[in-house]
Amino acid sequence: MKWLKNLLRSGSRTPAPSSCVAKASSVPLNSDVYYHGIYWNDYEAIVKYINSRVSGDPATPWYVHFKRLVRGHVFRKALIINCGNGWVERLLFDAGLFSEGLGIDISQELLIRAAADAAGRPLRYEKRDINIADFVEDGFDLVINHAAAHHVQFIDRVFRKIALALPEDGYFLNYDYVGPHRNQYSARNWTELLRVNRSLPADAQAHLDLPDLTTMSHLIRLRRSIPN
Amino acid sequence: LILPTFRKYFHTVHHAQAGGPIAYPLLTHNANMWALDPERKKALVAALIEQDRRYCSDSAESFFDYFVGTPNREVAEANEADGSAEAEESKRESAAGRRGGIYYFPHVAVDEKLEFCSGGRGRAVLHEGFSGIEPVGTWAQRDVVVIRFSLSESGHYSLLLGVTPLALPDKIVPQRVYAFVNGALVKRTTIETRSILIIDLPGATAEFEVTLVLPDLRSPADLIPGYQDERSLSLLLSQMEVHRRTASSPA
Repeated sequence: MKWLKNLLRSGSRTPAPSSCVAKASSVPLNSDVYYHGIYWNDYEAIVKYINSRVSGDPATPWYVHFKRLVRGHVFRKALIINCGNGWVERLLFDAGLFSEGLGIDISQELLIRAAADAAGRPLRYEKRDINIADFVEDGFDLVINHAAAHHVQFIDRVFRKIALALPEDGYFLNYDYVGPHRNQYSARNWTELLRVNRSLPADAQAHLDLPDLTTMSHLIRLRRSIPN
Repeated sequence: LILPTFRKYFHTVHHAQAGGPIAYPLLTHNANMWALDPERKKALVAALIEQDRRYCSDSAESFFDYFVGTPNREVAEANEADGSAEAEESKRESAAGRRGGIYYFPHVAVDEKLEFCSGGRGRAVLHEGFSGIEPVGTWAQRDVVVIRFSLSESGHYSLLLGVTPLALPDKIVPQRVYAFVNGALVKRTTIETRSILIIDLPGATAEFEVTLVLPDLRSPADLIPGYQDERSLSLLLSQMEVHRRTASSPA
């Protein structure tokens, strides 16, 4: 119990996690975490449900609703933040929403894929960390955030820069996750989730658990900071 | 933070909730559901959509939103010049970094009874070092376990934990407990029978990280030949409450 004696001797303080080095931002090491697995909107019924809620029509997705909202206006130049493999801007360009686009992302691997799949469309790509990037180009009249902002660490800074990059009549178009941070569900939500999950047949139930904290690197650091 | 920050820097032109508080977590990464035959899957997804719709309506919560705005340049320029928003954000991220990426702790209401047994609602506060939920409670199965929670406001409170030491048919293993709250040692005791462990919480904050150091954990398999349970166990936690402390409250 040497570590406990040390603990009690050292001013009755619990061992602190190893000091956290301030970083400009946190980014994934590679892009393998994206575009995998089964998502709720892989179900056609869910797509119709989402469409109904956002546009009032099960056949009208959010971007078609937006095109109607701006009365068919074609934007001159769009900025697509955290564009990933580029499927969103290809879809929106093909829907006639804008004339040219710049996609930015932290993953060079995904940008290469996006550029290849652009297939002649006027879409350019640049590697940028949105958390610390300044928008050096001007002329954007549309900024598109599709499921990107919930990956952003410095959200105030990024949204402020977007507001400054747009003209008065420019638009910021968003479809994004706005639920609990890092799966930290409210007690009400979690309780209801457990109830509904239990009401499903056993062979259809989801595996519900809190995030696998043991895989989170900070806890590994914490454990190492406690002497044996 | 996404929606408040959007409303801060943009004039909202359109906003609609796409839902998801029930259907998203129960369908996403659910290979069981995905593997069902199409007719059963269709019926169950339809049922989940109805549950999702009802929950969204009752709670006004949504996991996914569609929202459109035009820039509020006046506010953006003022905040850019002022620098305080940038400083506040850096402070928030630094604090979360120091707490291992945790932005806020699960909320607990004063006098709310949280049970750690099957069907109980206490799991969210058990941050590290605990077993899965069992019919009668949840085991501390490491020599350092962490409970995290927040209250609505700071004040003088006590944490009450229902605990039972590792007990086998003919043997009780007393458990020494060193309780730290937000890094400071606040209690040393030994649990020898089913007890209420009372830990006074500091009054200056509403966020608490309670660390229990449990040096006497043992494996039932080591104590009784032929016993199957090889886990290292110390205390079984059955329930938790936070009470307001008064002058007459036991220390």
